[in-house]
Amino acid sequence: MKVMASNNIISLKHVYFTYPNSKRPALSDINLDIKRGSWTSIIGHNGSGKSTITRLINGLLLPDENQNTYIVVDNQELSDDTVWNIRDKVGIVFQNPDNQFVGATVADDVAFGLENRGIEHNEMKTRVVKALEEVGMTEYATAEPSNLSGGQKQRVAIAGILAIRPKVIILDEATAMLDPNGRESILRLVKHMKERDNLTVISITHDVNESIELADNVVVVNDGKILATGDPIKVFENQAMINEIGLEEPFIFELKNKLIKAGINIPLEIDTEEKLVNYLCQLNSTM
Amino acid sequence: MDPRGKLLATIFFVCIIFLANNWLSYSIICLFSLLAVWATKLKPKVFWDGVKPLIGLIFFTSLLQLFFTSGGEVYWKWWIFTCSSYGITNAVYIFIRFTLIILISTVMTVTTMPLEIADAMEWILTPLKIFKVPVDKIALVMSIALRFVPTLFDETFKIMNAQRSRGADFNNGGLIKRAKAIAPLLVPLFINSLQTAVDLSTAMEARGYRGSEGRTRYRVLNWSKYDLYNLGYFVILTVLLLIFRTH
Repeated sequence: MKVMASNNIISLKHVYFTYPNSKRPALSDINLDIKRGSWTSIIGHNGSGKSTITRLINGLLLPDENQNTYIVVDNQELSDDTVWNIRDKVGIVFQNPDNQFVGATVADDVAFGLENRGIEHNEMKTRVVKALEEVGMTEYATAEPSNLSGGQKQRVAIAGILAIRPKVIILDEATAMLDPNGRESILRLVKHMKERDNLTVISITHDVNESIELADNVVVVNDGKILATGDPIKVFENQAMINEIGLEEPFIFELKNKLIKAGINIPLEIDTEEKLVNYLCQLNSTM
Repeated sequence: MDPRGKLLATIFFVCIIFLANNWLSYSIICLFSLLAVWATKLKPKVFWDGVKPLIGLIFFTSLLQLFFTSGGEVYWKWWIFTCSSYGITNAVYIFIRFTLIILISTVMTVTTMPLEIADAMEWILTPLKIFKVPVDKIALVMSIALRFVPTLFDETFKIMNAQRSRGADFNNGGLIKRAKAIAPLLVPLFINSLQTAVDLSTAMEARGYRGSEGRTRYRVLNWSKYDLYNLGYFVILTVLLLIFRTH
């Protein structure tokens, strides 16, 4: 299939995927476009196929044979010849901070991706220093992973990805094992990097509030199928769907519903925290 | 100091210690090792801890030497045991030899990070590339293995505590009972390690690892002048030993 330059950095068309030894496909007929420079949340319950999607994007898993299937990353179609090219452009931060730390020290780990790409030694040193500076881990450069907290290990993982200068960062439940503070600081860090370098972020998460706060686009996945895509507020307004697939209700809608139940009439168009606060203040002054 | 220098020196020391075969050469080598120990400026306790676990073995071999070496003036004899002048000197030599080898290895291990030792091993193994030995891969395996030692220890203690909280007893009972008690510890640990290996390989691949072809290295070792001094001392020591050796 001919690949055309477009606004979409990632396109998946008619992707099917079946794990070996499994009768049911893990993903069926996935069609997904991700805009360059956007923050996309992929959300769904355990086993819905979220992680599988990201592993297909950089060729860690290969989709089922199908003539119509194609995966395009940054105007390159994924194939045996381009897979390493595409991995250069896509960095993944995985869930368990312990199991993705390859180097024996922080600096070694950040350098691992650079070593694999045959980067020359001096260049490697400057990039490692810079990447550690960006994530605020400079003073830990010689620390061993067993002496770091989970949040710090995830920062190192992000530094390792920044050092290779990717175009897409995938957070594969990267904050799931962290405490609320660690989670918030990691997300803030990624947001900052995204805006500065115009990166595309794909975040796989269970956390609906994170999606509402950070994402431009949300993809709801259930049983290997995409249920809904679009603006987070609009998607989460569909409460019947959210409840049916067993997701948590976003805080703003939860509050709204409770207020409505308590007899306070809140118009439908109030759908962000800011609007709600303003509306409630107005209500308070007119009472 | 460069870990390669230290590793080479340690191996070399173990070889040349067998050159010593009289009181003079033994005093030279003792003096030399004590200088090395003194140069580390560590507390004697560190070295005592190094020797302690092997003390039984040292005494056992020395005693064997003492009683089973014949020749020289016989001081005492009973059944197969003899105590002769040769036996006494041999026993003392063996005793010194053992202690010195352990002392010097302790100097090596306490002053070098495990990671540096792995680097030095890799450097020493490099010539094996001629025989198609995958030295880069062995080195990567070594560094990952070392990196996971503390992580696996943490994991082990966690599992132990989790099993204890459900009533497992690791410290009591006879041999068989204890061996059985270890199963609930080993099985999860084994499965965890496999899971970790799978995750780690995925992460490595995602970060562009495709075998050792075309890889560069972040960590490089540098020879300093101290390493040359160090090896120089060893040359002097060898020459001294060769001169004072009795034939």
